[in-house]
Amino acid sequence: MDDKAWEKRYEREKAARLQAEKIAEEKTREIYYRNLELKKLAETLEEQVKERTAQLESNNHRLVESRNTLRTHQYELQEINQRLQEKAAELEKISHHKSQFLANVSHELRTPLNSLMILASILAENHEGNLTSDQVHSVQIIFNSANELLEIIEDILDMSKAEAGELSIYQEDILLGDIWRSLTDQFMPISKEREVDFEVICAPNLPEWIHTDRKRLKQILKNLLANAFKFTPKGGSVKLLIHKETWRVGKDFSSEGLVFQVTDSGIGIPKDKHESIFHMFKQADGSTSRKYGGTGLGLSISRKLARMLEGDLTLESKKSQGSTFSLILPPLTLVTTEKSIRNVNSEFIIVSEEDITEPFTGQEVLLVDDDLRNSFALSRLLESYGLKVHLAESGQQALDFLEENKRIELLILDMMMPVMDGCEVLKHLRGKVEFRLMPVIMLTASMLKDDELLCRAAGADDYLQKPVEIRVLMDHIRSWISA
Amino acid sequence: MKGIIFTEFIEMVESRFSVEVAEQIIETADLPSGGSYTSLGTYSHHEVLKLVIKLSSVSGVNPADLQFVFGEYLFGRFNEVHPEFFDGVQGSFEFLSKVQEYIHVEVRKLYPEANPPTLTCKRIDERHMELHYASHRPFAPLAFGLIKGCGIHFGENLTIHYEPLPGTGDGTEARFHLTLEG
Repeated sequence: MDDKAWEKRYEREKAARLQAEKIAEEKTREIYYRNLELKKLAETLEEQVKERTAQLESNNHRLVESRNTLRTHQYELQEINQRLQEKAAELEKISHHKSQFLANVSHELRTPLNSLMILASILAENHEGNLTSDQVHSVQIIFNSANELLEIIEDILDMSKAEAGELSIYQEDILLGDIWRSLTDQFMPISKEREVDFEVICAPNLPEWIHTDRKRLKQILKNLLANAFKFTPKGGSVKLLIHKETWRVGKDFSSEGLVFQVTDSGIGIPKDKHESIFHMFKQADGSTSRKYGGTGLGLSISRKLARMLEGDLTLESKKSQGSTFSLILPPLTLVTTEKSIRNVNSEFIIVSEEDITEPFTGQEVLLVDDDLRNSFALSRLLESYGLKVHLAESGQQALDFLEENKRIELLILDMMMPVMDGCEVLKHLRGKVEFRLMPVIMLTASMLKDDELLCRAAGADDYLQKPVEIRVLMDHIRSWISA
Repeated sequence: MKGIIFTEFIEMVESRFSVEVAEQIIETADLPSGGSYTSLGTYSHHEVLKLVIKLSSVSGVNPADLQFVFGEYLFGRFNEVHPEFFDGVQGSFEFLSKVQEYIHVEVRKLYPEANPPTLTCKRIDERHMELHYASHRPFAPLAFGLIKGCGIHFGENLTIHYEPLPGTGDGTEARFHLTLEG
C-alpha cells in the first residue's frame, strides 16, 4: 500500500476517532442532562412527598383532633346519660313516694271525713226539730263540702296511680242496690242545698247482683253526678237512669249491657268540646273552673276507668240544653255467680228525696271501733234509726261485753284496731258455739282489696268500706236484723 | 445499523483478505460516511450491502456467502466484546432461545436507537429447534452465519437447514431448521 493510501486510511481513522469522541461527548452531555433532569425530578418528587407527608400529617392531626372531640362528646353524652338515668331512678323513687304519700294521706283523711259526713247528715235530718232552716242549710253545706273533699282526694289519688300505671281493676259480684243507694245518700243533701231536683230511676228488669269493680263504678257515677250538680242551675234537675241496653260487638253478635245514664238540665257542652273535656285538666272552657270549681281530673279518670271496665263513657249534649253522660258496661257485667237472697223488686223504682223506711224498734247492736269519733258518729246514726247501740273500744272489751250481754243481735266491727284487730276478735268469737251464728259486719278505711277476703275468711258475714254511706249501711243492717 | 457491524466487517476484511482489499472496497463503494466508522455510531445498512457487493466483485465470492462468513466471524467477536451474554449458557439452543428475550433487550439498553431483527425460537425436542428470522434488512444469510458461529462456539456438531422465505424482499425473512448431531 502506498503512502497516499496510508494517509487516507489515517485520515479516515482520525475522522472516525473524532466522530467517536463527538458521539461520546454528546452521550456524556446527554447523560449529564438526563442526570440533571432526574435530579430535578427526584427533588420535585421529594418536595411532593414532603408536601404530601405534611398534608397527611395535618390531616392525621385533624382526624386525631376530631376523634378526641368525638371521644369527649361521647364521654359527655355517657355522663349525661348516666345522670339522666340517675335522675330517672330518683324521679321514679320520688314518684313512688308521692303515690305512697298520697295513699296514706287519703287513708288518713277518710277516717275523719267519715265521722264528719255521718254527723253532718244526722244533723241535717234535724230529727229533734231544734235547728233553724238556716242551720240545717249550713249543715248540708258542711256535708256537701266534706263529700267534695272526699271526691277530690280520690281523684288525686287515682291520677297519681294512673300516672304510675298502678290503676287497677278488681271485679266482683256486688249489689246493684248498694250503688244507687249510696249515690242517693251522697247527692240528696247536695240536691237540697243547690235546690236541684234529683231522681234515681231503676228500670224494672234489673238484676240484684252485677259483676264489676264496686269502687270504680261508684267513682265514675259520683263524678258524673257531681259534675251534673255543679253545672245545673237552681230549679233544674239531675237524673240517674239505670237500665239495660243492647250492646253491640260486631254485626253478628249482640247482647245486653248495663247503662248508667246521668242527665242534667244544666248549661250543656258545645259540640266542639265533647272530646276535649275527657282530657286531663280540661274543662269545656278555661274560665269554667273559676266559676264552677273542680280540678279537671274527673272526666279523664272516669273515661279511663270506664274503658278499664271494658265499657265506655259517652256524652250527648248541646249548649244550654243539658247533658247526658252514659256509662255503658259490657254484657259480662250482668253475669254473676251470687244467688239472689233478697226480694228483687220488679217494679220501676224511683228514688227521690223522701225515703220511707220503717225504723228499728230498739234492737241491740255492738259497735267496736278504737276511733271514738267514728264510734260516736256511727252510734248517733244507728240510734237515729231506732237501734240501741253499745260501744266497745277494743277487741278484748268487745269479747268481754259479749260474754255478759246475750241480747246483742248484730256486731259491727272495725278491722284495723291496735292489739287485737277485727279478724282476731272474729276468730275468738266464732270459736264459741253461742256466737257462731251472730251476724257480723266488718268495717275498714283501708282501700286494699285483699281486706275483704281476709274479713270473709275470718268469718265476717258482711263487709263495708269507710266512709260508709248511710243508706248502704242501713240496707245491709236491715238484711241481717229485721225491723 | 450499529457501527460495531461496520468496524467488525472492516476488521474481518482486513484479517481474512488484506488491508489493501479493505482500502479498495472502502475507496470504491461510494459510501456517504466516507468509510470512517466508529462502533459508537449508527450508519445506513446500505453501506454494508455496498461493501459486501464490492468485496464480492473483488474476491469473486458471492455476496450471500460473504454475509455467511461475516456472520460466523461476528459471532466469535461477540463472545470477545460481550462475554456477559454467555454467562452460564450451556449450548447453542439455549443461547439462541435467549437472543430475542434477553440479548436484544440488552442491546437496546446499550443502543437505544438499535432496531434488531425479530428472532423466534421453537424448541421441537432435545435435538431439534426451529428458528424464524424477520427483519427490514436483508441479512438472513448473516443470521445463518451467526447461527453457524454459535454452534462452533459451543463446540457442537450443528446441522443448519436454511430455508429462505419471501418476507419484504430477498433475505428479509428465513426459517432455520437446527439439528444437534452426535
